[in-house]
Amino acid sequence: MPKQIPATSAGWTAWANALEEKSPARFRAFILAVAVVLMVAHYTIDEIAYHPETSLWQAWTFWSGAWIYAAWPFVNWLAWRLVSAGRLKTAKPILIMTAVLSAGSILALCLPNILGSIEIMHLHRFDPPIEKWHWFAFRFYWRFWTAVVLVIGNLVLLWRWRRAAAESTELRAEARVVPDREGAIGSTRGACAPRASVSRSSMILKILAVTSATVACGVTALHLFLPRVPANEDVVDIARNYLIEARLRNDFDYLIQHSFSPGRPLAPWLMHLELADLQRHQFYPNLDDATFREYVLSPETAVLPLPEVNWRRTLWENFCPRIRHETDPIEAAQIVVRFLRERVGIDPSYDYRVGVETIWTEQMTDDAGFERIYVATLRSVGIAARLNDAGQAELLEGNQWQVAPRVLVSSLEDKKFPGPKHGLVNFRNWAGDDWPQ
Amino acid sequence: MRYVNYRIGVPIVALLCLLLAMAWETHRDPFRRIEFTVNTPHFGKTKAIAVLPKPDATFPVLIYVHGWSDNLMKDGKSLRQIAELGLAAVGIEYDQTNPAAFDEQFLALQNFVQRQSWAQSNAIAWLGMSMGAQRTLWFLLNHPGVQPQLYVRLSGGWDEELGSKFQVSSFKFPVLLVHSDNDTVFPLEDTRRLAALLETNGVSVNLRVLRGTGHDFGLDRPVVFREMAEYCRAHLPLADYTATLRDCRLNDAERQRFNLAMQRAGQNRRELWKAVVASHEPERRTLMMVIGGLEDYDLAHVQASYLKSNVHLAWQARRTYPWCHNTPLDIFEKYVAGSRFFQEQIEPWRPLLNRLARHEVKYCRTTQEASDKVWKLMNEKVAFNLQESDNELAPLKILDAGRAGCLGLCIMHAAIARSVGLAERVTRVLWQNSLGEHFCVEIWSAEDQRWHEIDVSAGDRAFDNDWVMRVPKTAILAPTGDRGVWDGLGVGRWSSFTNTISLIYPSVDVVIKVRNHGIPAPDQTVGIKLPTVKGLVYMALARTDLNGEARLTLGRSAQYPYLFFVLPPEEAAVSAKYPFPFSRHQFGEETWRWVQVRSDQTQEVILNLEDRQPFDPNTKPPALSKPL
Repeated sequence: MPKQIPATSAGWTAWANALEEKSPARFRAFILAVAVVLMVAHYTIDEIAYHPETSLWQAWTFWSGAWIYAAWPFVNWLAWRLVSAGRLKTAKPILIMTAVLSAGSILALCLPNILGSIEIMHLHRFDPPIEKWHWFAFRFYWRFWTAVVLVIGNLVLLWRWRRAAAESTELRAEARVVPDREGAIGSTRGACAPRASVSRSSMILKILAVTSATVACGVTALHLFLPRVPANEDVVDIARNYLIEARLRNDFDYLIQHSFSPGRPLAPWLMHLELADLQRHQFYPNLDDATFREYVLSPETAVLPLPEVNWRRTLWENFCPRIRHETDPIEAAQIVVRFLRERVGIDPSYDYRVGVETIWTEQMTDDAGFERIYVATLRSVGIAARLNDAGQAELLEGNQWQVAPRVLVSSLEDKKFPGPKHGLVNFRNWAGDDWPQ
Repeated sequence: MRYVNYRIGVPIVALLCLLLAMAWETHRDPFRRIEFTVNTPHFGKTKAIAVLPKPDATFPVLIYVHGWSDNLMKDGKSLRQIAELGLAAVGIEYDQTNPAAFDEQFLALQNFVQRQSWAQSNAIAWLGMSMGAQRTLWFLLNHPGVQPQLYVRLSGGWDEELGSKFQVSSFKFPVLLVHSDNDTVFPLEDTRRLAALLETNGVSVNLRVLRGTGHDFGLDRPVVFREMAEYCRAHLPLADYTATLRDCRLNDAERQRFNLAMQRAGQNRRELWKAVVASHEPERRTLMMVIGGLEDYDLAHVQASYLKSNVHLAWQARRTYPWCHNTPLDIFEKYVAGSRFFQEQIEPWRPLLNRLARHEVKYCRTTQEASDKVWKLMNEKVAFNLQESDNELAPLKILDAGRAGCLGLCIMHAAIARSVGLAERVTRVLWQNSLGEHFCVEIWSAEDQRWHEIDVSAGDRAFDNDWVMRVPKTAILAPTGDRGVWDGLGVGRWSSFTNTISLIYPSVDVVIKVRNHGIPAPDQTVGIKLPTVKGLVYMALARTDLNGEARLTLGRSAQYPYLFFVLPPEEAAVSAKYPFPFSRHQFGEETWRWVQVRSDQTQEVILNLEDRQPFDPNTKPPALSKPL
């Protein structure tokens, strides 16, 4: 400590500079030690504020977290030391960062009631929906305090380092300076080659090329990324205007209206739209739009706990090549059901109400599930299909709905649902424990 | 570029590309093919092939012997169809002209298969098609000591010597005979005679006649093979995936559970296995237990990275928090490491909720402290709103919405709790005094070593509040942690739930005896309903055993007695699959009785089928005999 306590900040600075000149290493160690203390103080104050009911000193968890904060000033200093090869002085900025953090923590500890009142006041004033309440809560922002201070502090250090690096580069450049054509000293222009004159036409061409490339990249990005991001109303609007052909927009609207729920990527629905349109006229040259949308385009074959809609491409790839020469729905359905039965087995123990994707992956399902995937398969190749009241797949032939063709035999075994075993009682006691007295 | 020698460089690069493509394709191939030869003492060597599904395991084996004019090359599709179902498919190029040579070749093949590490030597089925069926039958008769566990004959024939010369009574395995009614090579009558002969000799026979196809089943041949492979899979043991793991810590029942899940996973099996082989004990055991309990939807959709990270975070919590450390391993595996509640979407809620909650429970030492912190956090994030329909049951969706009904709140609470190592499950509570059901949660208390019920949707009821214990109730249905809760509430798959009412409310074991003129009536379905403010409400269902008895635990009657009645057979048949429809039962003349359930001792209820009388659901129920 100085013999006389300085009265001004300039006095403190002079004292600190003198101390640094006298023993730089000791000075740095002192500064970092103070930073460590401040950082641990910041951590402690935060923990006291968050867990006022806990005796922190007795909690092992408190100490296990404290060392990370204690180590941070040294680690930060060391990182900059390595990055700047020792040329950047970082101890004092780090001390300032920790001081700011601690001061913030003390403020947050002292002012919770005032902040709480402000929160309540704003909540009353703006009356936001409950899911937005956290925007008015002080704690919501306070959790970013440490991160914000550390990032800003390190950005300042980065800026200083770049400035120092630029200065040293300039100095080196000045040392290497060569005379220019006029022989003037101190100018660096002579080191550069004279610029070639650029004609107007080539300039226009370049601008056109850059513009075209940018537009191409933008359009490609739109087609690649838009279908894959979780979609909200805006994304759906953009997709409708830029990704969908005008003649398909009504079909797209139908899909969005009937089976899409926000927050999911649009890709499966775009796939339905594209592939269903490819098959639009194979079996029905004059199918009306309403029937096409409801029984060919629609990805929902039944009401299930979780809708599974991403099945069309898989089924289309597997089944379409087999019926590509067919024009009669019945004959095509016979081919379809035969191959479907080759791929998907029937077992009553698979009686969970799952969708087409799960059934196709598991390769097994129960009778009801087989009918569901049968309908989906028929739709994927362009045949209008639905489940009738008995849960059987039926297809549109001419203007008549009729039960879709079946396989030769559905199973070699007379399987039936096992049902509850004898003595199996639904509401049996868990462990036979008595009522606790 | 003068240093580049294109004459050498281009072929090398092309070769490398080819090798890479081959390696990639081999990796993607869902099957492993092993070509081998078997030696016979008198007829030299013969070729054979085994097609094994990936990943590696010890598989039940199906040996396929093709028919006349077929060969090993043509067997490929049939073998692949068999292997797709998780069986090891083995084919052989046998001598089609010399039966003696076949016998030696088939015996050598059988011996070879028995020695393989991928084969379950006690689970081998034979499949003979046409001439292959004839040859294998003769082999069986000539070598009675070598028998399969299942024998399948497709379009096989008859030989006059069969009936006279040989004894088939030594066959100790079931036989499936498949034949077409239009078979012109071997008439259907041949197979009927063989079936009759086998049945006479006490062999279990299943004869299936396919209408309208020919000897080789024509276009339906692949379908017949698929169905035959499904039949074999159903009658042979499961493939054992755990056999390839060193130091597997699952017991036999757990292995069976895991293997069944792997079988159900179908094409996603390799993804699940990727997670298993990438983890180490003790996390690997937990991972396998989690896989064993996955719903079908999860088995088909879940990614290896998701499974692994879930189990890793659960174990991290187990190592960090005392309440989780002291939770029994099986409960930890089902209700901490498991990530499904009902039929919500798969989403990575655990890391996010853990980040939210770990600061809250940092200084907690007991289950109660941690539970209360979780409850407080949940109330900060999500508000109770009766209008919410609970359509979105996924925790992160609920968090986004910021409001939920009682089921949504319970799921949210359970998800936060599991993310910090609290074992918790969502329970369906049937109240006695209102129409509706209600959802609560049960937390495993590490200190008391028992489940603790909490009504988390009320804003003032934390861990130690006994409100939930005071309200009269009939039953509390808690998920067992096994497959089945997916849509269990919707379709009434009650076997996936367990009744925990006796833990928190006075209840009693009720023994229901159904008698028909004094004789015990088995297979009777008994329904239990309860009068409420909105009429009679379905409460429970029980099925009588061979002694005509059924047992179930019910909460003691608080306001009205229970109505016990026997379901008519047609309704019982429906309720065998989905018990829920029986709630729409229309009362007529039937066997019924009012029963007041007490909580002092085991209670017996006798229902006589001959005592049928009309029941009017609008009549006022009798009062309880004494206030409870």
